[in-house]
Amino acid sequence: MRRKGLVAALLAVCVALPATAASVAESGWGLPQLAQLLAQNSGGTLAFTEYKYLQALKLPLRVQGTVSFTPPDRIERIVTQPRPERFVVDNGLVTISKNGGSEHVVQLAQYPQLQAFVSAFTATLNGQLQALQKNFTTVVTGNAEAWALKLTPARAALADTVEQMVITGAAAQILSFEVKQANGDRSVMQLSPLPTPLPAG
Amino acid sequence: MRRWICLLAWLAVLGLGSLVAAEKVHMSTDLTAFLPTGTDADATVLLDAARNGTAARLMLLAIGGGDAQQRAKASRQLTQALRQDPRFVRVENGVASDPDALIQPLLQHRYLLSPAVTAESFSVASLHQALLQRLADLASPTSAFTAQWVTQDPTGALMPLLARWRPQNAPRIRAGVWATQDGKQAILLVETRASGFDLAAQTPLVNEVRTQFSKLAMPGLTLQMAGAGPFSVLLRDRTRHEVKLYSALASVAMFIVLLLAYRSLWLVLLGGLPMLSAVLAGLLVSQAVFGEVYGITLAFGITLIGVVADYPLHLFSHLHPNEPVHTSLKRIWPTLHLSAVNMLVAYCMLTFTGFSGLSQLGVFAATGLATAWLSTRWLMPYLLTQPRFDAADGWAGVAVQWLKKLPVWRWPAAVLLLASVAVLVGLNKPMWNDDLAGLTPVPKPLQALGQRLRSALGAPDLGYVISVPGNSSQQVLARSEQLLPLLKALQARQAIGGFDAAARFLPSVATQQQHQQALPDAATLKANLHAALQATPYMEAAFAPFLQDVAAARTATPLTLADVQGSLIGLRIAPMLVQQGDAWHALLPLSAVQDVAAVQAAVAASGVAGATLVNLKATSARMVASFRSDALWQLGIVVLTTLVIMFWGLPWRRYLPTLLPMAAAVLGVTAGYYLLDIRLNLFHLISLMLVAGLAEDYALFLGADAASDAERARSLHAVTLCLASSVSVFGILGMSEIPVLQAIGQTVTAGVLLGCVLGVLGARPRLAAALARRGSQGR
Repeated sequence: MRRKGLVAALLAVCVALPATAASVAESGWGLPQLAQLLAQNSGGTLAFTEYKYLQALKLPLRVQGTVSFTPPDRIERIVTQPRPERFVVDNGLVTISKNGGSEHVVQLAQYPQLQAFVSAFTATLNGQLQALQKNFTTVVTGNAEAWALKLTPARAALADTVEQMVITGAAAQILSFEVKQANGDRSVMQLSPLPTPLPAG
Repeated sequence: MRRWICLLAWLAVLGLGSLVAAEKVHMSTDLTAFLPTGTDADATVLLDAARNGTAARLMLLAIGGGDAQQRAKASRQLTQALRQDPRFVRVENGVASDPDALIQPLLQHRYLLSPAVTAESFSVASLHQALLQRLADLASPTSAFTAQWVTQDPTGALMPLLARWRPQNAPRIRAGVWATQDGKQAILLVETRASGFDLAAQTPLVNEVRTQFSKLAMPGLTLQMAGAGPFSVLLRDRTRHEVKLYSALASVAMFIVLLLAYRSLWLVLLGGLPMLSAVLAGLLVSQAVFGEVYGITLAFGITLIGVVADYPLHLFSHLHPNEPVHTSLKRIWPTLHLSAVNMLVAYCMLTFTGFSGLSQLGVFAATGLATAWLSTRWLMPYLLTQPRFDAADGWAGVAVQWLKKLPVWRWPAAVLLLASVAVLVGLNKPMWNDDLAGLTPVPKPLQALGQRLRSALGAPDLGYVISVPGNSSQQVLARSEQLLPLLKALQARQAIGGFDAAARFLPSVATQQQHQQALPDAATLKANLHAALQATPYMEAAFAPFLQDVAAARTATPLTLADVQGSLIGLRIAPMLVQQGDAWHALLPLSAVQDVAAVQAAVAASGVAGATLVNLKATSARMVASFRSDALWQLGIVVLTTLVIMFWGLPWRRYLPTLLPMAAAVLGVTAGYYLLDIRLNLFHLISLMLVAGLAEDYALFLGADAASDAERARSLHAVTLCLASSVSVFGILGMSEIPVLQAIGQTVTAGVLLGCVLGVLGARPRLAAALARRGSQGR
C-alpha cells in the first residue's frame, strides 16, 4: 500500500513538475500552501494499519481497520484486528464500543495525548492547519507532492505525554501518521484509500 | 406629651428587642424537632440518619430545550464546572471521569478492596487470558490511559472498583451524555457533602448550580433540579414568598378594617403594638430557654397568639368620650383577665408536655400572651386619650336594639355540636394526615420530575432502606456484605431497581484478609506469570510493578473506616454508616422497590442478625401519629384545666353560653373537614386551638354583664371588629396555595365565623336593670 502511494506521488511529481515549479518557486512551500491543498478533502473513509511500538511489548502490536472523517470534526475508527472495536470522536466526546456491545463514553479533554492526536488528525484532514499553531510548533518540509508536517507540542503539559507527531502525505492525501510519546512508546499509522472490492469470479 | 414619651419608650424597647433578636436568635429549620424524642430513640436516630443519608444528598438535574448536541454540551460544561467544587462529592453525567484523587487510592489498595481478587485469577490460565485481553486494550486509541495499568494491573483488579462509582443501571446515552428515557433532557447526578435537609448548606449549593448553568450562557436551554436539597430550598423560598405576600395583604386588610371602624390612625397603629411585643418577647424568651428557635415554633406560635391582636380592640371599642381611659379599662378588665389567664395556663401546660417542639411552642405562646396582656393593661392606657366618639352611637347601638328583639337561641350551637359528634363518631374513617412531607408538599410536576429522574438514574429514594445493626463498624460492614449477594439476586429479578452499601466501597477487614490470602507468594506468582507470558508479545521485565504490588498487598494492613476518613471513599460511605455511642448501623438504601414482600423475605432469610427493611415513609408517619395522639391527650388535659379555671371564674349560668359556641365551632369545623374528606394535620390542630381561644373570648365578652345597652353595644362593636380582623387576616391566608397557610387560614376563618355567630345568638348579657330587678325579686 505504501509503495502504491509513493508511486502515485512520484508519478504526480513528474507530470505536474513543469506546471507547478514556477508557482512553488514564487510562493515557497509552507503551512498555508499545505493547508490550501488539504482543504480540498471533504471527508471519506480510509483503510489503516497501525503499528504500536510499546515498552511492554517485544514485538510491535499491529492494529487494522478503517477510519472515516466527517467534517468538521467527527472521526470514526473501526478496528477489525486484533479485536473488533468501534471508536467515535464527536463533539468533544469519545464513545468506545467493544465487541460485546458495551458502550463507554469518555471526555476527549481528559486524555491530552488522544486529544492532541485527534486535533492534529482532524486539522490535517480538513486543512485547518492554522488552528494547530496554538498548541504545536509546526514545520513543513518537502513539496506539494511529497510533504511532511512535524508537530512538536508548545505547551509543557502536552509535552509530558506527546513528544512529536509527524504526518506525511502526497498532495491532498495523507499517507502516514506517526506519534512519539514522551515515555518512549511510538505508533505509526499508515493510511490508504479503501481497496475497491474485487469483482466476484 | 406624656403619651408621646410613653410611645417612644415602648418603640425604643421594641427596637432594641428587634436588634437583640436579629443578633442572638438562631432559627432552626429542622422539622424533626416536632417529632417526639425519647419515645423510640432507636427509630428516631435511624429515621434521622436515613433522612440525612445518601438519598437525601442527591441532586438530580435535567437540562431541557435546544437540541441533543446543545444539551450534551451544557451537561459536559456544567459537570466540569461543578467538579471543581469540593462541596460536591461527585458529579456524574455519563462521561467517565475518574479523578486522580479517586484512582490513586483505589489503585494502591486494589488487592485489598477489589472483588476480582481470587486465587483463581492468579493461575497460569487466568493470567494468560487476562494478558490477551489487555492486548486488546493496548490496541485501543485510549491505550495511553490504560497502558500504564497493563503491566501494573494485568488481572484488571482496578476496573470493578472504578465501576462501583457508576450507577448500577446506567441511563440511556444521547449525544454522549445521560438522557431521560425519551431522550429530550440531558440528566446529571450530583451528590452533595451536606444533607439535603440542611437548608443553610443547601441554599448556596442550589444557587451555585444555577449560577454555573447560567454562566454557560446557552439561551433556549432550561435547568430543572430535583432531590431533597433543591426541593427543600424551593419550598422554603416559595413558603417564605407566600407568607410575606399574604401577611402583607392581610395586614393591609386588617389596617383598612380597623381604620374604617375607629377612624383614627393613632389607634390603628397602637393596636399593632401588643402583638408585635408579644412576638418579640416570645422569640427572645424561647431563644434564652432553648438556645434556638424552631422556624415552625414561630409559625405555630404566631398563629396561636393571634388572639392577643384582639386585646387592644376590646379596649378601644369600650372607650367613650365621657369617661377616663382607666375607667373604661377597669370595666372590661375582669373579662379580659379571665380570658387571658385561662389561655396563659393552657399555654404554660403545653410547656410541660415533654416534646421539645410543643414545649417551645408553649413557652413562646405563654410569653407572648403575657406580654400582650400586660402591655394592654399597663402601657396602653397611657397612650390613649378619651375619644371623640362612642362606639355605641354607631351601627353597634342599632344592632343591639335589633338583637334585643331576638330570642336567645342556643339550640343552633347545641344541634351543630351534636351533629358534629355524630359525624365524627358515626363515620368511622381515618381523620389524620401523618405524612410529614404532606405539610409542605412538593408541587406535582416537580414530584413527577423527581420520580422520572430517579428512575432514569436508578438513584435511591427516601422510601426504603435496609438497616443492619451491630456494635462496631466492622461488624455492620461484615453483616451487610452477607446481604450483597441477596440484593444482587433481587436486582436481577427486578424486585428492586438497585441498592447501595458502604461495604461495596470498603469491605470488612475479614473480607480484605480473605483477598490477601488469595494472593500467591512471590515465587509462585513469578512462575505463573512466566508461564502465562508464553506465546504473547509482552516483555516479562515490564511486569515488575505487578509483582511488587501483589507482594506489598500480602502484608498490607487492611483499610478501616479511620483510614478512609475525609477521602472520596470516606465521603461516599459516611451517609451509609451511622454511629450512636457504641451502636452502629449500616444503612443500605434501595431504589425502585417493586416487590416489598420479596425484599422482606430475603432480608429475613439472610440470617443477618437484626437486619430489617425500614419503610421510611411509614416509620415517619407512625412517629407523627404517635406524636399527634400524645399531643391530643395532652391537649385534652389542657382543655380540662381551662374549663376548671373558667368554672372558678364564671357564674354557673354563663357556663353554657360561653362553652357551647366554642365547642360547637371547634367540632363543627373538624366535622366539616371530615365530611369534605380533608385529613387534618398538625397545622389544623394548632388552628383549632386558636379557634377555641377566639370563640371563648367572643362568648366571654358577648355574655359579660353590661350596665347598659350602650355598654353591650360597645362589646358587640369590639367582638365584631375582632371577628372582622381575624376573618380578613386568616381569610387572606386561606387563599394561599401553600397547604400550610391554607390549613391555618381556612380553619380559623370558618371557626371564628361559627364561634361568633353562635356566640351572638346564644350569649346574652345580663343588663344592670334586669340584674337589679331579679335581685329584688329573688332575695
